[in-house]
Amino acid sequence: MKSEIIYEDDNHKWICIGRDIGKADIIIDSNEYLIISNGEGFLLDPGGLEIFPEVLGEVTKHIEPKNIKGILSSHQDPDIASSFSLWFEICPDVKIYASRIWISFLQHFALGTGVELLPVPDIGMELPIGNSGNNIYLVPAHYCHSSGNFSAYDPKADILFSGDIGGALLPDMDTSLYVDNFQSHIQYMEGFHKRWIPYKKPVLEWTNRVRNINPNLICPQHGSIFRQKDIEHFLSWLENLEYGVWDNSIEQLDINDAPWLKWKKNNILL
Amino acid sequence: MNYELEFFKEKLKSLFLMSVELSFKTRNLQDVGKKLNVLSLNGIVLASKINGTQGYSLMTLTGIVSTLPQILLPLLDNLNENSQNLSNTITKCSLPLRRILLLEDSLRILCTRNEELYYMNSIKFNSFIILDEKENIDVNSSKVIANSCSKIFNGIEQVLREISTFVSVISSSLKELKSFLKRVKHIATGIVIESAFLKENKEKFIVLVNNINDMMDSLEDLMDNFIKNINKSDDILFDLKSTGIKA
Repeated sequence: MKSEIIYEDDNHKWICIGRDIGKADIIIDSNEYLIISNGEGFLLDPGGLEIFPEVLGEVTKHIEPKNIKGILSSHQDPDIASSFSLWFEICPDVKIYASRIWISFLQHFALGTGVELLPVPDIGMELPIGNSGNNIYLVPAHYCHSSGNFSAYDPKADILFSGDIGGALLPDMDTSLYVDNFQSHIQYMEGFHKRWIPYKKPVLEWTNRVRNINPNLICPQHGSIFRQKDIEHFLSWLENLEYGVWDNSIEQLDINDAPWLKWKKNNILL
Repeated sequence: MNYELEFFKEKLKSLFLMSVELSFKTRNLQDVGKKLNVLSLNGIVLASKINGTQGYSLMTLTGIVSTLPQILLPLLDNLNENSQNLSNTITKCSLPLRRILLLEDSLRILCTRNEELYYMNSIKFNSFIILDEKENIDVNSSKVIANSCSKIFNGIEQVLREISTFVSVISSSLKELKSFLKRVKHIATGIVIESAFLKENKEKFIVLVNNINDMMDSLEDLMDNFIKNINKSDDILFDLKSTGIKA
């Protein structure tokens, strides 16, 4: 696993952790983001249980666990959220946030630690990065793909963390951390967006919000980071994509040959 | 993954599987009490048809057998409840153990990359806790992680003590059941002796006693198997407690 600084000024920096060559192939690769502001840390989507040791190993190259004050779980998926109880175990002052609709589901990852997540209202909220004096702002991204989903904007760094939006399944771990050629990058994003996002309306609402924010970087939880030059291409591409697409070969079958109906008919005949 | 923790995990798993088997089989034993009841009622009916002193003594003996299910059933209920509690308590260890395994992996990563920690044994949590706080993120982080591991391990030790209690309670229940089986067999022998001089229905009493003895023999085999498993559990518990992970 690697960690790379993607933004840095005097007292504020963003670190992207990812490209884990050590993980099992069956586990999806993910990017975790660490913001350090005036010595206080905030983790965006800290990753799944299976990669916790490696992520912690990278995080401790930059900050002590006791200085991590906040964690955001952008939505409920295990690859982004299932490790939060272990972070709670070693970060005594950490506050962990997730959409109000996922709190009681995510508590199933508590692993007996007694951690209690803090609910984020649908409209989003402002979250302090510890006592650094800087904040991040949670931007609604519901139904893109999760029904309770947030992006996070950091005005100091002018970076938008987009969670699964813009996520790409890259062919190998040597792929650049940044999108170099948008057109050739589409092939790694397309399948995921078409299948996982149910319909277009929430995407258009999200792209509208992002155009208003106009960030310098968009950082997804999988794949590569979009720089300013590619952001408009990316938003336009999102707006023109077809959503809710699945392997509908079943539609071409005679309904009476569908496996579930076949089963019923066979049992009635018996 | 560290050998000691892997060993710990495997032992815990085998202890759990044993307790599940125990709990499953004791649940099935409830039928034994009912069958013994039916056999003893048959005996009473048979004895009531016999006149004279032999009839009285056989009535008394089969009457005693008919009271035995009332003693046996609570013993079996108790065994069932305790073995169920044992499985539940063992599962309490699985989540903290998962946490320790992942935290210990993190500790190992720090030991591998930091020369000050390079010669530390990541499994001995206390040796990290006593390190001096330094201007070194790896050293300080390792202290925090080891401290968490140690706290989790204290919790696991507490659960292991609870497991020990259940194992010894189950062990006493099994001993009690074994002595019960001996009593039933003594009474069955008495029935054989008393019916030996009967001119009629002698074979019926022999069949009755054989049925009781067969049932008690299979129950005894089961109890012996349980006792063997419980003794093994004791050994596993001893192994778990003596891993010396915290040292």
